[in-house]
Amino acid sequence: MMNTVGHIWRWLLSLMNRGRLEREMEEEMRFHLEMQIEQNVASGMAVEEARYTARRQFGNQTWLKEASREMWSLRFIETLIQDLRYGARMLIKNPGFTLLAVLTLALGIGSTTTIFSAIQNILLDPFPYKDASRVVAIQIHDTSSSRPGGRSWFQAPEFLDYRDQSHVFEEVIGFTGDDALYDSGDGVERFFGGYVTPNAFSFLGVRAQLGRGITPDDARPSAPPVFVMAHKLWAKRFNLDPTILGKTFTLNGTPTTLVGIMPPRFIFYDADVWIVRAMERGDSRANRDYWIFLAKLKRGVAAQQAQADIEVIARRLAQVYPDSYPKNFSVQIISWVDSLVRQFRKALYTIAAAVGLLLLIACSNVANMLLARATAREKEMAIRSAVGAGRMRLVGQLLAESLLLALGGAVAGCLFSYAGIKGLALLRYDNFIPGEAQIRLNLAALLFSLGTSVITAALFGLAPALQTVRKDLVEPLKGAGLGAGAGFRRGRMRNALVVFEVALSLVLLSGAGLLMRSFVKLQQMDLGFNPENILIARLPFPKGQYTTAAEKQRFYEQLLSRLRALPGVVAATETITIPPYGSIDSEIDVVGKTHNEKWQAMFQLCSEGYFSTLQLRTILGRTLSETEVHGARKVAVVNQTFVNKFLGNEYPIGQKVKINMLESMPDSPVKDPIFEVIGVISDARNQGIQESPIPEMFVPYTITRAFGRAIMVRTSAPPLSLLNDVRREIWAVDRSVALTLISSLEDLLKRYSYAEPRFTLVLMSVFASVGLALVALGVFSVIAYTVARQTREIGIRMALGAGHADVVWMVLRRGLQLVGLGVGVGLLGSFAMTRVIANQLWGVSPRDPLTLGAAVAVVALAGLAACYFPARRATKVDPMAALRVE
Amino acid sequence: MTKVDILQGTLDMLVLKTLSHDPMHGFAIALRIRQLTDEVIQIGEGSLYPALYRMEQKGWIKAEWGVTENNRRAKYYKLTKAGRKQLEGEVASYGRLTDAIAKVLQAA
Repeated sequence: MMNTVGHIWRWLLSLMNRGRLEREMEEEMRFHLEMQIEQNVASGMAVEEARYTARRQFGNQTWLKEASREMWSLRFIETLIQDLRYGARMLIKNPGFTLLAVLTLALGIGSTTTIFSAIQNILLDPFPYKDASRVVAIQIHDTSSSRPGGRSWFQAPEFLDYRDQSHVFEEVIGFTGDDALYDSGDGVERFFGGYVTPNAFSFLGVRAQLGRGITPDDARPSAPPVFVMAHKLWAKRFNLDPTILGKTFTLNGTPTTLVGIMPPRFIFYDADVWIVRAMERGDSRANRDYWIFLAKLKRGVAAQQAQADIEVIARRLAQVYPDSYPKNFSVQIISWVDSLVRQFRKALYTIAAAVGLLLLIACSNVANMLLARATAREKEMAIRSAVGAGRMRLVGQLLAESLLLALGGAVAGCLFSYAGIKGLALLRYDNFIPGEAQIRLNLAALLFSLGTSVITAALFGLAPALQTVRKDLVEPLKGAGLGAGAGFRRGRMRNALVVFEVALSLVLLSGAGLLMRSFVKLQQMDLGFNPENILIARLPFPKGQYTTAAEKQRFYEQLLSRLRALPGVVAATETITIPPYGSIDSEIDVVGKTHNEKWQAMFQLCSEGYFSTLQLRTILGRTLSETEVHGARKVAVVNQTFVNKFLGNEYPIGQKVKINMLESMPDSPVKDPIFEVIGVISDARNQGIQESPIPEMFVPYTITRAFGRAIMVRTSAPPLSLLNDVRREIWAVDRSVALTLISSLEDLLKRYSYAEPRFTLVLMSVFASVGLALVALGVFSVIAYTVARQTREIGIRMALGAGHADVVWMVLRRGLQLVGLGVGVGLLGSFAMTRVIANQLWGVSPRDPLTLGAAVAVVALAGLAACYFPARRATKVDPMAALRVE
Repeated sequence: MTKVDILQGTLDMLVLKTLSHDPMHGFAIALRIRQLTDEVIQIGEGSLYPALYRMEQKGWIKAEWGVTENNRRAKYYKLTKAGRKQLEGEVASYGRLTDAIAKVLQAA
């Protein structure tokens, strides 16, 4: 220890006395030399000879000084500082190279960090809740369905069975969404009410920003009704007014006290307000609700273990509640995140793969540039080595340069990433991720991309030091690198890198191309209905009112006739679901037909205007008439798929179809729900835009009071411009009806159906373009370098009579070879890679020849364009000048 | 690796031993060792001066400017206490090493 302190002390002293020490060393060596000369003279040499011999004996003075200096310094730190300073100077002296390398690295680091940060913050750690990583949901998946996912909500008895019979859960909470209609005195507003089991807030473990969360005491029968408000509603509707805490609000007709306001990140299923709702067996209210089931796994219980435990219970419960389970099902324990992001996970992974490729391209490019520079610096290295720089010094210095480059890339990459994260938000993907997720620059993600580039830079930055290892100092000093033989191995390395880059970029481009074609097809696809100029709104009725089908009918009859009378309204209808999603699933029977498996169809409850509003095409017979709707007649219009699937070759009109679900539903069952088919319409998408339609029936909405209702209004002007008129008409019929989820159908489609494919497409396109630009740069630098090396050869050829065309061809041939090889490898890679994105393609084969062909053409063109400039420069070679170089 | 270690340690030991009686300058050290070993060991300047600076840095020797018999300014190196201790240690371990090597050679 003392020794080390003394050492450092002497080093500090020597630092201060550096000048004196240098002088003393000089003097000491001069003294030594003179003594040597004297001795040589004394032994009989002539003065000149003595001097010469002494010098030769003494050897390389610079090296000696260098070695001696190292003895009185803390070499490591001092050399490092010196190396960094020198490296910085070298980089500043080549601003073009430095800028390009830093920019390339920054692009790679920036995009990788952005995407990996997004994945970290969306998929791995989105929630602010306590132990959220242990929270799981149960999903009942219908194995006969082509779609992934399944039911993850349960009615109260089933919910409680799962909770009470399972052994793997520490605690279970339930959530069910419902309207919370707020009567402010001026009118009724609809809040999205989150009804939660009494233990929900302690389970989530987030403290309220103001006041308190919900406690189990709030659920006691004698407890006063209370609620907790979301930050977003507090900000949007109440201007962050803290004095509303403790006030009483009329929610669903009940005076309810606001006891707490949650912090912004407490989103919990996007509710505006949370209200406690006890779930007890035999409670009819709770039995009607569908509850989301969230459970915290006991510590140390793995998902598989939980799955096995729940599987047994599910098989048992399928016997108890046969209507709720498909014939063949599997039980899946999925993480809470997965229950929210579903398919979006795959999209994110695709993007991550793409960005990984981009990082590889960027790194290869920088490697390439460093190798090119290595060749240019052969002479410098040889000189430095010859005048006494040790191998470790050269390596250290090159490392320092690489490190500076990588750091520059990291800083710029951070800026890119910051901008990238802002840019991501523009893609409106917020509907697919947990609302709690906050995308921030993630340190681990940054370190990963930084690490990759530092390793690349360090590895390839060392190339110039290789020659000193080979001790090949004479060659570069003599020939200045114009011969054909030197640097051959490195040339091959660079070519391989370019081929690799071209291949990667082709993979990226074909991926982006496929997604683009898929997206275009999706947008061009005929949905079967016309979504333009349609205004939609859900109309929740106040609690306790409109409890019969007749009351609902009275409201809608008045409303629809008023709406139709509005100028600018073309058609209007009642509906229960908004396209492209069809309505209620039911088992059906066609009278007089027997079948072994269950027949499933959807049925829509609508008014006569439904068909003209959506502009559905009638194929056979007619659509619902006003009389039939008013009279709640049991007639039905069916879609084409229904006919194909259930009626075969028989004439559809007059067939009688029984909708079993209407008879069995607990809420106001319909007796003898047998409907006569009066017409057939063409298919319209009813399972989302990507899935082909399933059988669907359209029946008068007046036959039951069940289900929430909405309106769709076809307008001749932009739909939202009629919003105030529509609202006025609604309130003219009844002031207590709220309007919610107001939107145009087109906007809804954009946000929910097209946003996800668009997200993947946009990002893939950006990455593919950047990749292509980098590759063009890579090809350019290799070809330009080759031309520079071949200046003499070109000169000779031209002197011997080669024309411009010959020279251009000579250069292009080289580029074509590299690009061609890269394209070949890339095509193989594409075949492998595109299979990964197959599940995100729609209507396009992952080996679509047109797309792959176009991608090849683009890469090849970019490659050739990159060869063009060096080729042109080659033709400008002056044979005389080229030959005179040596 | 072993070879280098032995050589380096040996050089230090020889230099320290040479300095154990009187202070000397670099040229004299090299000369003395050459003479004592009948020119078997010739220490090059490239090894000698870095070794001297290293040992000075470690505190085994101390440098002072002095004047030679011919009235020339020269840097004289002197053994310090720590240097003497170091020399003793090296001589002892060198003795053990040569003993050991001799035993092997005799056995063969």
